[in-house]
Amino acid sequence: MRRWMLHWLLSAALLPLTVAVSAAQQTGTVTGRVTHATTAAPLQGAQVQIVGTQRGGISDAQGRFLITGVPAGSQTIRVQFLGYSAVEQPVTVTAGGTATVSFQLREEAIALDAVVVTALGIAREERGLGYAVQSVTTEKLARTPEVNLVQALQGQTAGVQVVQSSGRPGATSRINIRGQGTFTGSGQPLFIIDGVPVSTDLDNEGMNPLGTGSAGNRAMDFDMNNVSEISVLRGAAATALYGSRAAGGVVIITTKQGQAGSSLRFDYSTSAAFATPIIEGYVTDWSAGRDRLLCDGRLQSQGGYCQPGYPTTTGYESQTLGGSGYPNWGVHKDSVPADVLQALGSVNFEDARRQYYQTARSLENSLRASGSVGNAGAYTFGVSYLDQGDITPTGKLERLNLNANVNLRFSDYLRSNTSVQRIATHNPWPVDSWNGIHHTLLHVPANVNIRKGYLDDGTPVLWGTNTPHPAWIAENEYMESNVDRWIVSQQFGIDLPGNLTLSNRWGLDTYLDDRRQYQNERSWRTAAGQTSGGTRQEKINRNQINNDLVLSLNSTPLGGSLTLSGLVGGNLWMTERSRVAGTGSTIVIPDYYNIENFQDQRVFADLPEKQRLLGAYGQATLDYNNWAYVTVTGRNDWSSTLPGNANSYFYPSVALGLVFTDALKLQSDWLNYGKLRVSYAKVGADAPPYSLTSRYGSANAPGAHFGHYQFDPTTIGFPFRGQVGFIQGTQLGNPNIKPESTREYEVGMELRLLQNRARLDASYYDKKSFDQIFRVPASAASGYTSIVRNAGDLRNKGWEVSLQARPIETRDFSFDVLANWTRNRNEVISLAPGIDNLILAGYSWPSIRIMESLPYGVIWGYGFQRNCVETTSDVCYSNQPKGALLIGDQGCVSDRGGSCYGLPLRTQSQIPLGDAMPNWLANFSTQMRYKAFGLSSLWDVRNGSKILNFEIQYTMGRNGRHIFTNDRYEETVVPGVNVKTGQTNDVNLVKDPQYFELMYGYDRHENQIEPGGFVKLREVTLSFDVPPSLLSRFKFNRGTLFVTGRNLGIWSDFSALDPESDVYGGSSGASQFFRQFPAPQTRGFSIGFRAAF
Amino acid sequence: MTRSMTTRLAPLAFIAVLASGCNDFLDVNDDPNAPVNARVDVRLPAVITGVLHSVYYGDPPLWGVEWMQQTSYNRTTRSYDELHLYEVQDNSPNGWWSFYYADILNETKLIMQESDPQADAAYHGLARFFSAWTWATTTDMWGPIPFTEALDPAVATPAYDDQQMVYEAVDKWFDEAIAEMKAAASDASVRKPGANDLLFGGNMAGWVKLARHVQARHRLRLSNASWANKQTQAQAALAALQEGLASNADDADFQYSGETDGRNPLWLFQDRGDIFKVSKRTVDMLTDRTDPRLPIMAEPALSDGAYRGHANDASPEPDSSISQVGAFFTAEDAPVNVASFAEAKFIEAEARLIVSGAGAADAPYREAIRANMQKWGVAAAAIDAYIAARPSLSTVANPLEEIIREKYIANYLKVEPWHDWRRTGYPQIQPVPNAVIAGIPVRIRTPSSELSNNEAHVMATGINPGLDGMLYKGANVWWGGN
Repeated sequence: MRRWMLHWLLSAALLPLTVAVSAAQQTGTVTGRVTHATTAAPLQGAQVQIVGTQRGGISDAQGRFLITGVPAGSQTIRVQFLGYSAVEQPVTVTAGGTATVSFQLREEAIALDAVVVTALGIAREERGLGYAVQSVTTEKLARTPEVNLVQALQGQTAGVQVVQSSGRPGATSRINIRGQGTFTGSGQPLFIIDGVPVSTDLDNEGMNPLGTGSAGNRAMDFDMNNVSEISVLRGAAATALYGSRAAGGVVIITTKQGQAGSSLRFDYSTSAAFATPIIEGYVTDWSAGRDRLLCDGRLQSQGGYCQPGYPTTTGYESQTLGGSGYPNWGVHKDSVPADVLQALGSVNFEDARRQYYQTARSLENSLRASGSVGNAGAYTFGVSYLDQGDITPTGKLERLNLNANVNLRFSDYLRSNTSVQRIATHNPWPVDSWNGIHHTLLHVPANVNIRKGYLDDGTPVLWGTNTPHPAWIAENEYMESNVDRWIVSQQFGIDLPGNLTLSNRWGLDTYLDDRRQYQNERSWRTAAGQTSGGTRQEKINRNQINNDLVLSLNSTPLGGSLTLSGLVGGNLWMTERSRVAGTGSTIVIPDYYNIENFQDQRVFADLPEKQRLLGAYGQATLDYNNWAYVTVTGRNDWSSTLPGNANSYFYPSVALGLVFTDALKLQSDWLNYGKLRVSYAKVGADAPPYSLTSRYGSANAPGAHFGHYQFDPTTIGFPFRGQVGFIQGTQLGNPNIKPESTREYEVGMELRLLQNRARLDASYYDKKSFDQIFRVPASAASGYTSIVRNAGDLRNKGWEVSLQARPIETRDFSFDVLANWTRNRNEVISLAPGIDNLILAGYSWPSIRIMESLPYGVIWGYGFQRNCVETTSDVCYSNQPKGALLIGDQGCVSDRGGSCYGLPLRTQSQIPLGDAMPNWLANFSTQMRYKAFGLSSLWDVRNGSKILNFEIQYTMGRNGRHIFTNDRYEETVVPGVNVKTGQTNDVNLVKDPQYFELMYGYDRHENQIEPGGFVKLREVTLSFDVPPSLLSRFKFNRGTLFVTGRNLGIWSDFSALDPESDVYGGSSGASQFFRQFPAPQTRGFSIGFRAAF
Repeated sequence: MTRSMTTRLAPLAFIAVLASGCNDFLDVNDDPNAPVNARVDVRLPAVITGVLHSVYYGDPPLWGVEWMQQTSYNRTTRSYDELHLYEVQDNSPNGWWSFYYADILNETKLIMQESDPQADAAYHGLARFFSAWTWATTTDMWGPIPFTEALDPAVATPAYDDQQMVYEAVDKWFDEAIAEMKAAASDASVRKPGANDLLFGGNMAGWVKLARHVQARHRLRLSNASWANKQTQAQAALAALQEGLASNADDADFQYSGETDGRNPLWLFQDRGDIFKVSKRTVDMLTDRTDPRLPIMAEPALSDGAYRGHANDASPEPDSSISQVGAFFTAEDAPVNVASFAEAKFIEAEARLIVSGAGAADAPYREAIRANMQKWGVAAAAIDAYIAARPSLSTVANPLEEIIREKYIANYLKVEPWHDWRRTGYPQIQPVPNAVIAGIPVRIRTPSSELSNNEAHVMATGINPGLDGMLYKGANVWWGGN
């Protein structure tokens, strides 16, 4: 009904115009349809133009168009549609008659004259750019449906690395553009939605990544259904106008907008997804117990069973999870003795995680209405709801997105654009990382039944004095984040005389994150007079306001084949973050988490931390003959975080684009287009807030924990006994900080070949970041543990190559490929004077560090002593190979206790064990279309990276759960050289717990390093466009059914198959190389339907 | 018309901000949550708590409790450090090293710099006392440490000085601090701490006694130092004790609140009671001597009510069959004693033994035992019986061993037994069977942060920064003479 009304309004508005024109001359009408060449689906929004006249129209939802007042005679009709090849057809129009003509459009193999979104949201022709920009359109995004915006960029462009920190719903996906450009900063790009900088931050304060894991970052809030295009600005020349905030690159997101002149349209999509965890890498053939004697993994006090002959004096406890004595060293599943079978009935062997984890089920629905109000404006309103399930009963991501975008043209010189997004996110998750359920589950021996979480009398099953059953944990200990968020922008534009436009855009991004952490009473502890139960309830408030005022000069011919365009502008940016948190410990009445229900309560509140910036910038582009383009930019920033007398800094860029095929008239059948790009840019960056001074704060006096890291130490916090206590912070401020700088050169070339069937794009960049501002560690004996300083140079250089082609195209069939290849070389040129390394992630051992003259990300820990290698030992037998392992002689006592005869010897101190950065990255996507069917795939390759797999340390000798112990009890000789005799080692060893412990366990970090490279078949999507004949019965104009498979294939040498994880949730570029019990990644499929009506 | 008004206003608002002065707009870099300075009276509670709770009862000192086999670890769980096997990871001392220097030593330096030597003489004196005590503790743990070049932010990598230099300076500072505190106590115009004095509630006389006690402790500690004279040190210790604790009423007991963030560190023995038990060595020693303090120091085993210890480094035994550490020491709000009259008497006994022989030591030795038993609430008759059963020091073969053995009991769950063992070798303790180094540690391992941030100076000390450095007995440390 409403649709009809709008139609009527639209035609009524156009009617007077039509009448007026038809009265003047002899005219006729042209009508017809625009459809997709292979699927025959109607195409809405195509521009239909009578060539050489002002007459034209836009196709409606059924693909129909109607153009009246067409001058009689032979006319050419041209149909254009973004992403499709333009088509022209002749038609003869008779006065007063109606000519009918149909158009079948084919998707372009390679976008010609592509328009891309550049800095400040300015759409520019790609041919005029002097730097690389790669954009991802709705069509491409729809092919690989993702619920996370960062995740959606995976495998789409060159120069970009995306790592998903875990398989948990809402888990951070970290994105890195052109390598890591900062030592200790996050290095994440600036995200801009419709001109508004938005937060994708982690807000990890108050979290302990190594203990309980990280929250997800705020990229989880964005609605992919609302995204029209994502543009990735990689180099400094591309991002220079954004200034300091863009040091890690820029991701510009354009949301969907209504199209002026189009009729009302609804888009609906629905999908359901199913996923199962990837849990390879652990033994499932060996039972609980030790010395090949079986236990059932239960405490003696809870009816546990151990095979006769088992040494009970050490307690059944040590065979269970809590004991972690030798829990997985019982019998092999094929040799369970008869007496055990008699006692237990049967013994089942199954990975406990397979028992515990469930299939994650997700549902997403989205509805959008868009249309126009005559020629006065266009609108779009949408709602999306996502309910993403987890493989645990606790985890979940529920997200409601409401959004609206209204474009209005008040007069022919004045227009406005208003965009509003309202987001509500609910994201609970089980405790992660060290204390997490995924860690606990790894240790469970294969014969232990974990489906039973409670005894018959209702008491929880315990695995040690303080290790409850995972089912109990799932119900009683978890965290959650609830976010309320608004992203709003308002832009006005005025066209001024002299080809000038003045526009101003205010943007606001504000959210409240309500975080809660729950730990219920552990009744068995209460019974023993011990404490348990805790909560932390925190509200994090962040807001960000941005304004850009821009006066732009649209393309203006200067004469002599020169055209000038440009802009000058000013930027104001302010951000605030504050929080209030309450904690309670020792719960009084179970199940109630009001802080009043805890014996000890504390409240923390931080007033807003503020950061502000003012910027003035300009850009000018000179275009010569449409084949040579020079763009220069300059920006000056004034930052609140720098010393008041030195808070201003300027940085320039220059970029040259040369379409040499046009300049030199080189076009041929095989070379259609060739462009050379050269650019240089310098970008400055300010300091973190409050870096200039040292501060006093409420004191914390650490208490003893007797070397037991897992204990909460008995810290004394103030107020204590009614007294406040203040103490100077241990970080020394620096009032003389200056801005840090990055300078980058980039050269690139783009070629379109074989009648635009192939496109090759290559870039080389060299980026150097210097005077980095960071907390330089100092000897605490200086009175401070760190000093804020400008120090250190970091260099990234590399290649990015993209190849896009349509090798096959017939009437009903087309085949497209896109391949991206990236190779980044990183070098830490210098750190700070006196500092030779800096810890980024992990523990003091092992850890990921940065070291001078090595690439960012060095694995650091204990290695093995090697022959004639001075850094690891002083032993050298020249008749033996250099670097051979040195092996313990008879009587050797290990640093871990027990014999090390025949086993390799650990180095005395920690050493760098190799750099972790990948050699190169590649991704490869294909799309095939046959009539109404589409089949696309996305492949991802990481070559040559290394991961420090901390899981090995804890699942090795004593624990016996890691897959490396699967060949236990076989005999072996460790290749190497006897340290005392210099003879080749010939000691025959049985692979017992001691062997595994001294080869891989604990501090044998060198053997805990695993290859982190992989080949992944990330996604395969089969789609089917429902034939129009079928659709019309349901009043649909377009309908697409699709099935997507995710992570269908992973090929790697990593023991747990999928090496991608990040316990820190992406807060540091190095943390992806340190693995510690992440929530498993998942594989699965989704099925969905998209329709337009 | 109204439309164009709106569009004009938006840019105007922006221009208005620019015009109103960029400097005001940008002047937001003053952290609203953390002041640049604080009054000395709110800094004192942090220093008192930092020294008593963190430095004196913090980790490296209390590792000695396990090493001296007063407690015994009853698990095989892989913990971060297998302290019971003398394993200290290179990073485990980092936080403590940084707390000693960047928190306490730097903060006391700032208080001394920023407070008025006249009007704030009390705070000045207290800061000097805590500084001196912490310097002594730092060198007690590590031997050579950065001293003359330390606490200067301009020197990011300070050089190390030998222990003698630190000790000589510290002894003078104790005297200076005491002089300042005495002067403050007798001068009504001097601002003095009150409730913010978490140990003595503003009683400066109490602080003078404590300072002398600590000074005596450190003077006697040098009795075997290669650079010191045994007689001189013993006499100096006796001299300091003249102004030290005079009765149990003078004891320095630091009271815990018992709340979260306010608990006695030994509460962990109770709250994680299944992990640290009383050592078999301790239970057997007390049982052999029918010591009436056993029921205070240990809880009866849950299974049968017997007092039974766990042998250090033995395989774990069922929790219920071994004694937990006594609730007297592990209650959440149990006070921690940092100096006792009993200890003063033990110091006196040892010093008199050195100066005048065993006969002179016997009386203070017995007074010490009595003071300790009275403090712990042992019945008078049991005290008399126990003391009567002790042979006269003049008659025993090794009076020093007798003194130190009794002192070892009285200083239960404190660092002092480790200090005494390091310099005297008493009580005689065997290393555990599976020890990862060839003996009981006599020094705390070099922090890895120092190795990262000050490597050249660490290496210049010549001390192995690895685990074996925990056996360091160089001539320039007080435990080297033994």
